[in-house]
Amino acid sequence: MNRLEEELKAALQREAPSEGFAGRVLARVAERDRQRQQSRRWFALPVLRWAVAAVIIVVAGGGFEYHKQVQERREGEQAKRQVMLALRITSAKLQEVQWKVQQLNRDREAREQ
Amino acid sequence: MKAPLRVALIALFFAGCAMAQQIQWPVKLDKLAAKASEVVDVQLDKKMLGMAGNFMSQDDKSDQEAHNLIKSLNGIYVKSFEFDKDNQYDPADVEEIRAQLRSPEWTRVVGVESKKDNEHVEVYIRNVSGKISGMVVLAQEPRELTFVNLDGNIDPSQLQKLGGNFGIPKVDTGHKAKPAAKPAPAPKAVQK
Repeated sequence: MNRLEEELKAALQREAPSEGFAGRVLARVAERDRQRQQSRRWFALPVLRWAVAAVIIVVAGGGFEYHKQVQERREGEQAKRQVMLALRITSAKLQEVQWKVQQLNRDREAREQ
Repeated sequence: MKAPLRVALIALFFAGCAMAQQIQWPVKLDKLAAKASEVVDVQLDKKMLGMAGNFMSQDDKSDQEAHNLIKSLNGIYVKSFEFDKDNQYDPADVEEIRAQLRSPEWTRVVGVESKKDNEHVEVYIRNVSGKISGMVVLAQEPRELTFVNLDGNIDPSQLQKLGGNFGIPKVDTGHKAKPAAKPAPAPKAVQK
């Protein structure tokens, strides 16, 4: 047996647990279970459950409403741009007609003079 | 005939009448979009106009005038095509629109035809009980075709404001503008 094996054997040899080890482990496990049950009990309260549901509904509703408003704003601004474009085209065409009619009148007046 | 059926038929009749008032854009002309270098297609019904109106500023003059004009409209429909080459559309197709405007409620108030420039611009108004309830501008140019339909009540003074507005500079014609009177019976102006 070489030195390394001896060191390993020494390191891995079974040691008796300190006094009260099992008790401490069981106590810690019991404490963890108690905490878990307590948190579950909190959630088991109907008021809390309703409150969580209400918060989810409010957040989801708010998000939906915000999205709707953003969408409406985008559509409204797009519609406004289209209205202005349509009126600009209409205005330009009416101007064109007006200009042509007046040009004709001017030509006619010039011919008559 | 049972009452609900009668009501449905009456509703259908009125819906049909309302549809009939609309100027139908010929499907053939929609194919022009493929040939055009620039296309404007605006289709705004009353709901969309209302939505647009909500976004118009009270402080901006153009916005205010646009809002005043659109608040009594039921719809704005504009189709405009610009081409790189001459004669890309068949004038016979435009005739389909003109045929719809020959109904008694429509009056051609202005028609300008320039044979030299091969341009033809017409303005029609729909007169219902002495009120302007619609306007159509139809402009044919060798490289441009424009159709504008303002559906709904239009105040003649607002119509006058349309010229020289919305970013379009007013043309200095050298003549004083005549006060708005009742629409003249279609002065035919043919430029040769």
